[in-house]
Amino acid sequence: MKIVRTLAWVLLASIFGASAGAELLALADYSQQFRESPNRAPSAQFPLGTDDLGRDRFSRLLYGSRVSLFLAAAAAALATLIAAAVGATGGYLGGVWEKTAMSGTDLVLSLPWLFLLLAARAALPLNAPPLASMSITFFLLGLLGWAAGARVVRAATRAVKESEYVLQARASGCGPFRIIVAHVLPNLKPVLIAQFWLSIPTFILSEANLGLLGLGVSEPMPSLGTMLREMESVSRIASYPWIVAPALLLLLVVSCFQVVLRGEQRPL
Amino acid sequence: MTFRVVVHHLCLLLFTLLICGLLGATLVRYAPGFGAEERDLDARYSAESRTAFRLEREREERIVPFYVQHLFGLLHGEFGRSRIFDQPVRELLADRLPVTMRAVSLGLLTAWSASLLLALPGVSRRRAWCDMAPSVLAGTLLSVPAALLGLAFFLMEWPAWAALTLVVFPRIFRYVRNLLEQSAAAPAVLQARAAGLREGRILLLYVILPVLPELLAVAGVSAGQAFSAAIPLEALCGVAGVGSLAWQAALGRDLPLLINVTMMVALIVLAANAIAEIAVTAVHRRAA
Repeated sequence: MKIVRTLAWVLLASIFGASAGAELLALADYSQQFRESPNRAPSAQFPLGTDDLGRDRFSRLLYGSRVSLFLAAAAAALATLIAAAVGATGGYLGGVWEKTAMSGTDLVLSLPWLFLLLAARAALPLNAPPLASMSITFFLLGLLGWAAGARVVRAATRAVKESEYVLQARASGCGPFRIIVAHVLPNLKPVLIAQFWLSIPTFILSEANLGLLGLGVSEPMPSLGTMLREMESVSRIASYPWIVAPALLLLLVVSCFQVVLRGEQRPL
Repeated sequence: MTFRVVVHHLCLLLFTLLICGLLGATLVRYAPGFGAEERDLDARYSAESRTAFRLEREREERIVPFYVQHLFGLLHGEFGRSRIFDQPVRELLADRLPVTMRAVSLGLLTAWSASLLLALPGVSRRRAWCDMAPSVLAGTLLSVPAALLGLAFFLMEWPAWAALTLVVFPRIFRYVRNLLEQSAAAPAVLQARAAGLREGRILLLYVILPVLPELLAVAGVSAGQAFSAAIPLEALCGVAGVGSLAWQAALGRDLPLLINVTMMVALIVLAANAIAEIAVTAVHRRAA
């Protein structure tokens, strides 16, 4: 099992590394069109062929995985930050604060969040520039995906609250805000890091769902979700089997995350 | 105690309705293009008519009166009119909701049956492959986006509810397996085995029954997961349910329709959670 986990780590690091260095590895820009060669089969010039508009699919995959992986991580960081703020405040202050925070959390948790995401996304301009649509998509993911983490943080905060160093800080006159920021949150670091890593694959999959539905990152900016839209008919997949590459990459990335997280969760 | 839980959940439902209504009204009010109407550009209307339209719109632009009007409409079962379908939202929901409810019920039933059937052998036989095979299957399915599964099922011409089963199954299976594993490790199970009780009886009385409240809670949560999965699956499989309605509304920027669909689904999910929690309380009371 340890070998599988190590392999998953190596694969994840390679994929993240390759997507981070997309400018160096890509053979063309993601939006550059080779108009004389649309729907080209894989070759040395185009390792994964070209799409309908003659854009190099391999380059788009590299740039697209960068968008999906790094922005999912950014969304996870935002969600963890909100979860830490809500969970730690509710857990430390207790009473009405805790009840309010947890009622809000329960409410968000019990709502079907893809519906919320769709509603929030539709309220924004659909003709937004690619960069804005990309930021909006992942910002919304982070903004709506904090609730599960907040419950975990609140439970951990309640345990930390009873510790002697918090008692000492309180006795020496520290205010609640200072105790939360300087004493509680630093001691919740393992919990927060675990929440951050757990959120990344969820956000990658959510972006893929939105992208496939046409509500994710807008063209010409690629992402793993928008690239899946090419697989719209059996005949197309049969004629150009290499178009399933984004789906395979997505499966590989999320599977690697599952293996890594399963291994890391045990000691936690 | 049960009465208090029922009242608590009724209050929560009411609170959700009010909050969702306010958020929905705010979203509709501040969405780009709100208030822009075709008739403003129609030269057949006189200047007085256009002024009257403008005054009518200005009344709607103030959020509180707009929300109160929206809320009164909801209380009278008036959900507004869909822009893209040019039909009352109530009629659309009445047509589409049963389709989704059927698919969600069928998907949840199959996913729960599969989860229990695959988790129990791993717990009772304690053989590595009995546990490994379904865990690998669940892990793989968790790595596939629901929309991609929907697309695959659409291309293969398989039913959408089966895809929904595959989306919900891994999420249920993980919880069920962990709960049953913890329950099977209890000393009472060992004692029951030593006393020579039959395996089926041990599983039912000593493994499943002690974790029944937790399983009921998971059942409530899985309803929300199933409804969320319904959007991409219905949209891509071409099923005329509320999921595809929400998708079409999002693409057509038909916010009144989208908000009402979201509220309706949220209320159903909250009701499912409330029923599960009431059942949990009842089971706890009986056990006590």
